[in-house]
Amino acid sequence: MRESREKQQRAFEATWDAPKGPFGVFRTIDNMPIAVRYMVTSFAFFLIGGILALVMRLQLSRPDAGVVDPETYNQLFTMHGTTMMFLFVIPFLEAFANYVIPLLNGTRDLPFPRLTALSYWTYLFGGIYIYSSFLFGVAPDGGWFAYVPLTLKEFSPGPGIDFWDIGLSVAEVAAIGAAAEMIVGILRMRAPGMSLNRLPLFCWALLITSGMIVFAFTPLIVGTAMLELDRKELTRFFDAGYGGDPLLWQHIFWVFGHPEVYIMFLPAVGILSHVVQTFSRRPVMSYTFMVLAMIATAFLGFGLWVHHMYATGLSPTGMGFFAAASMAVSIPSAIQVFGWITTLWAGRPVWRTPLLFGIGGIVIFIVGGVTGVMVAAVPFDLQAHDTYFIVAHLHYVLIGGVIFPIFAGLYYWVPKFSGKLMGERLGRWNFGLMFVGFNVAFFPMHLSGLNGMPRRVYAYPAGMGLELYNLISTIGAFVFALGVLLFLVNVYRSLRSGEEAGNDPWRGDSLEWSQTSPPPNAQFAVIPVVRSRHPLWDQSTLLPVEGDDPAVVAAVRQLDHAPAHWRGSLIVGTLDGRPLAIAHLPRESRWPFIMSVGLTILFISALVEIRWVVLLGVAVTGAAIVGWFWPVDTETTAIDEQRVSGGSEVRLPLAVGDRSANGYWGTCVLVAIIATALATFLSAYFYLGNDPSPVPRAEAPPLGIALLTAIVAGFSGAATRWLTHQIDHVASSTRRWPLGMLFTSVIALVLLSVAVWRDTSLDATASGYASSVLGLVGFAGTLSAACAGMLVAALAWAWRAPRDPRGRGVALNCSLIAYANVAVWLVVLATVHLWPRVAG
Amino acid sequence: MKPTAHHATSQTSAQHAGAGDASDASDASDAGVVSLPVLLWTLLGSALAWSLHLGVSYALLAYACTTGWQQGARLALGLVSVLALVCIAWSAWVARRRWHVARVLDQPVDDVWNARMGERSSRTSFLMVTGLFLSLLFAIGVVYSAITLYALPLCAAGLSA
Repeated sequence: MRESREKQQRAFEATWDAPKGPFGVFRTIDNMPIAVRYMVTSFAFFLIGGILALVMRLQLSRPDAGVVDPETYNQLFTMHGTTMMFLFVIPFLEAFANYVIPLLNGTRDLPFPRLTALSYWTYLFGGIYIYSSFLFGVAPDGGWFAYVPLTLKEFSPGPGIDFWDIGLSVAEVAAIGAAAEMIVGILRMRAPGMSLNRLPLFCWALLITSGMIVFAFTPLIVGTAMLELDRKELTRFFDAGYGGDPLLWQHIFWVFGHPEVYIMFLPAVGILSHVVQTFSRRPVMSYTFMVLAMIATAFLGFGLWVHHMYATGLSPTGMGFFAAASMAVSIPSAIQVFGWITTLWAGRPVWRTPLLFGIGGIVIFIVGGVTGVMVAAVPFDLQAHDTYFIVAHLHYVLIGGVIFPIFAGLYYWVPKFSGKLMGERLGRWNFGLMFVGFNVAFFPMHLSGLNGMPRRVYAYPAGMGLELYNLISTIGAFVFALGVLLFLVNVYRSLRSGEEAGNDPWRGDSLEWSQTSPPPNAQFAVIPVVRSRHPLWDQSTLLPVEGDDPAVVAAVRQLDHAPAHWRGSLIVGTLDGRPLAIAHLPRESRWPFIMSVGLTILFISALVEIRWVVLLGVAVTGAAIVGWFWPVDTETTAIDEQRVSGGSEVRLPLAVGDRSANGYWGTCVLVAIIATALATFLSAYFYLGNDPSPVPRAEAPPLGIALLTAIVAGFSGAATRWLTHQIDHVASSTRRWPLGMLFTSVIALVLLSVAVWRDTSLDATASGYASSVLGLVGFAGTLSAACAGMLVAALAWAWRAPRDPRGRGVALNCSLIAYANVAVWLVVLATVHLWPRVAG
Repeated sequence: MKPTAHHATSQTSAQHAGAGDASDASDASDAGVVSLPVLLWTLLGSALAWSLHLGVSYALLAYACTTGWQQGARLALGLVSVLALVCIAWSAWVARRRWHVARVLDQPVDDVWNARMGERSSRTSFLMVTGLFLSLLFAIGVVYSAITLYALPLCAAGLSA
């Protein structure tokens, strides 16, 4: 008996081993190794971004210094902002999440391991892509916000902006992929008993942040696509000379850009809450209010974007709305800050390095928050706009609200990642230098800003009273950099000769501290049972005890060092954490790497415009998609096991082919992304249509083909309804007929999209309005084409193995996208054809 | 009169919950169960109302400033604010009612600070309290923006929204 158990344990561990061999690196899809790569890569970008900042500070250390020329200076501040925002903070926080979320949740991996790998590779290639522009001496120089018309072809003819635009799109894909993963992972893959009110705060933070990423990054992807089309002079979205509108870019950019601040800040709130709680030796004060503050911030964060545009001449009441929201958002931030302060007050704080960084961050963030309330007021902002006061404000918010918490999180979790403690003495020096250096560097910027020093200008004349402030700032920046350097030394020394960390060096409350440091690849060979918000503080055991729900006990038993020959993890109910099913997780895959190579080639082809490069990109990506969706052997094993098991024992089913599958939930997130993209195109349409432009608007397009298209879309909807009915109610169905009808109608919609566009007889290169119509119709057509691609997979299953639950799952996911496609078409047709008739 | 009525309600629910399995009360009991639409409405209804209010108001304003439709616009914007407040109040009212039903399931929180902070241990109570206070926050948000309607000119001279 014992022998067979040991055998099973060995098999289980072998199943969870990372792939070996020379190419194992490219096939690994486990969350922990990928998270470590993510952290190392993004920290490297952080260092590079920091060096760019130091060069800028050298240039500004004295008046009219000749360290760099103005063109280089433009490149420096553009790349500093871009690097820190897109290549460091977001990826780094996602890396944290990749590593820690499954551990905090008491599960074995994230729901889509291949997507984890794809996100990493696309992010890496996107980053390299943007930085490769330095090799050609054409680094982007339009600011991290790339305002038009400066970034249009006319004023930025070089390829620098294209590098920025396209590289960013690659990195954005990575962020959205990671967000989908987090949403499904946190909602569906947790330890039994972990109801929503027991979810660790870092998980809440990541759940909310990921929701924000879906709604914020999608407009940016649409916006950068519009910008690239405008730069290729195929459209005129932002070109005022043709009835486009430069302000449209600012709206789209900041509807991403402001939530972005909170997308960076909320995970930091999660980290700080864990750190403050652990080192205060008591639960964080009012968990409920912490959570509601994060939810409130997530919504309010979307209502602030216009405060970046106060100086553009919008209507006073319009600005008032956003000033009101900007004031209101300080309420949840204050709730969080008071939560931490009262936790420390009521606790018995242990002053270790993570807590120092945590408190240092809170102090700095409060200063940034207060100046934030100042610049939320329109009259003050008009004075401070584009001065160093704003530079000081945003660095106080971001370094206090994000960088210090990241360092707190590093000091807190690195012992878990590496198994070695970090040096405490060096840590204190690290904190002291960074804290002092930061304040010395950035506080004087408030004053130089109030004295009128403008941002983004490479030099300032002597005799304006700015010399001293700038010299102090430069000294502070180098002290800060020295602090960061000490961190690297500390990591190096810790890895080489650090003290063993043990499982739980900090006496933490959450599940990650119950595992070895570093944790085994399977993370939880025995699934823990959660009965409290602070399981390690409140529970005597993580094993089932008498009185536990029998379903929980059965689930834990079923998953004890099992399944042995394929990777499986528990799926639970979203609200209460009741065991529902078992998810199959793939073991390894080369396709994420290959797909990211293909995507990168495609993005390069957008820059070089050589036909064979395009074809190569399409071929590689296409091959990767096919490989990705090809049946996985271990999943076949899992399905076969499911089929033969049964009998009297209560066993959890495999989550495949129905609405409990992770894929279905992931597709729901995809629908949200589609809706957001549509909303962005609609906003562009109404914005440009509403503009009193010099170019006369075209007449409402004729109805004929549009009517036909609407009928086909309706038919497509009916076919989808039939498909879902067959999936849900007709067990013997092969689904071939409804899928065939759906496929035909979707292909027809692809073709009709061309006809609908032709029928409008508009010229997208001639006006902004025509561009926005092309945007809507093109989006609907592209979506139909993607839907047709998915349907090919569903049809292949229906023909080859109609009884296989995986085929049913693919068809179910297709039905969601097909419904979304119908809805998009109906909205697009109503907008383009009916709205001009209604509005006259 | 009113508090008595509530007291009676919670007593009835306490008896109701007591009839079920008290040890598993925080997880499952009829009193604690809220349907998904109710849950979404109580938790996120106020946030959605505020978001829609901001979006619709800004679009209306843009339309008003480009077409010169100013008199009616102010009234319409005020109506949007009132409508948003009504939705938020509705969401808050449902949340408060469901919380009162569910709170009999709260296990005692043996922490003076947390008890004072109104910390709740059952899942439904937690979500309902969250929804209730979110409503309060977003009501403040709507009132803040409504103030600007009466304090500022609608459109800048010669400029569009």
